[in-house]
Amino acid sequence: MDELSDDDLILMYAQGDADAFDVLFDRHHTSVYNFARLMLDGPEGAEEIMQEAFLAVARAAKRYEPRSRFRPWLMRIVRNLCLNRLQTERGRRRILAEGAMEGIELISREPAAPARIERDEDMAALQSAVRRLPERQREAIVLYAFEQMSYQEIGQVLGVPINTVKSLIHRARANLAGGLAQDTEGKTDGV
Amino acid sequence: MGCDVAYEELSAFAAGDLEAERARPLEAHVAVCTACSARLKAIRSLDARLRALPRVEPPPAAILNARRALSAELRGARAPEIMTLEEVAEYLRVSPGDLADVASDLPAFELAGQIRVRRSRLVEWIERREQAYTRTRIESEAAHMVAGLL
Repeated sequence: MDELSDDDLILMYAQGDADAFDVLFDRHHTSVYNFARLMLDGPEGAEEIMQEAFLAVARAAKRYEPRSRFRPWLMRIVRNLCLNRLQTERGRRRILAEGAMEGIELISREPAAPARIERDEDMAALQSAVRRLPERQREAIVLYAFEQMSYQEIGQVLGVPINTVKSLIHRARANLAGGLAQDTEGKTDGV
Repeated sequence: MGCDVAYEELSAFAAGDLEAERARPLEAHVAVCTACSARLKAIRSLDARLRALPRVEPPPAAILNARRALSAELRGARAPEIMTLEEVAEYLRVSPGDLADVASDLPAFELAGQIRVRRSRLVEWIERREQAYTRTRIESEAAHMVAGLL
């Protein structure tokens, strides 16, 4: 069943083949989890979104139209779930002190060589900068860089034209470059 | 092509998302324009770093939870909307005799002297029992903790 396309699998599931859905879950759960993890504040929310997203996919399978293409369709569901959650939690988030430590899971707890520490710090800074991006820029750049989606697919997920995707990715890159430069300056100032 | 090349254009070019008729002249321009070449290099470098961000595997417990939540839904894909008690037992993976313990609680209805269960109601019923079970377990763990403190 592994050689079947996502479209084949979701259509098979819609016709009652539950095993087809297991393959879809195996294929996409890591992507879904990582997208949610970067969209939300931490892994707990992402775990729930992963579960909710696949349940939503299973329930909506009969309405799936192959021309939508599965991956953008799935990520659109994940995105909507993330946005709903962010909206609900926004009030609570405002209370959190600005600049509160973000959950950075990239830093290894094991002793590491200096070069590795530097690389991990660089990765952590980049991930942190991605999390600080405005919502729409963040989702566009995560889909682009993590999911390696085309501009067209990103447009399908976000429900915007390609020119908007171009602009979002451009602004995200500019903000990331600016944010990282600021981090470096901050680090230098602190020394 | 002058050096008024939009960043978005370079960005799309770096992503391989520019139509061939626009990509070709841009490629030729970048080859001779130091400024655009530097900008493209910066874009590619940032992209490479973004793509190198590690993908994190969900914790095994999260995968297990998701699979559990899905299993009822997936079994539902095979089950008919109106089920006999035998089908309900098979769906729940218990023997028909075991259903007797919960018979009064099942969301069933009678039709021409036969007991039938609507699948969607059964799924809701399972969810309610899951919640009740979790509550009981938490209460029991809390009671153990309190007992341990005394």
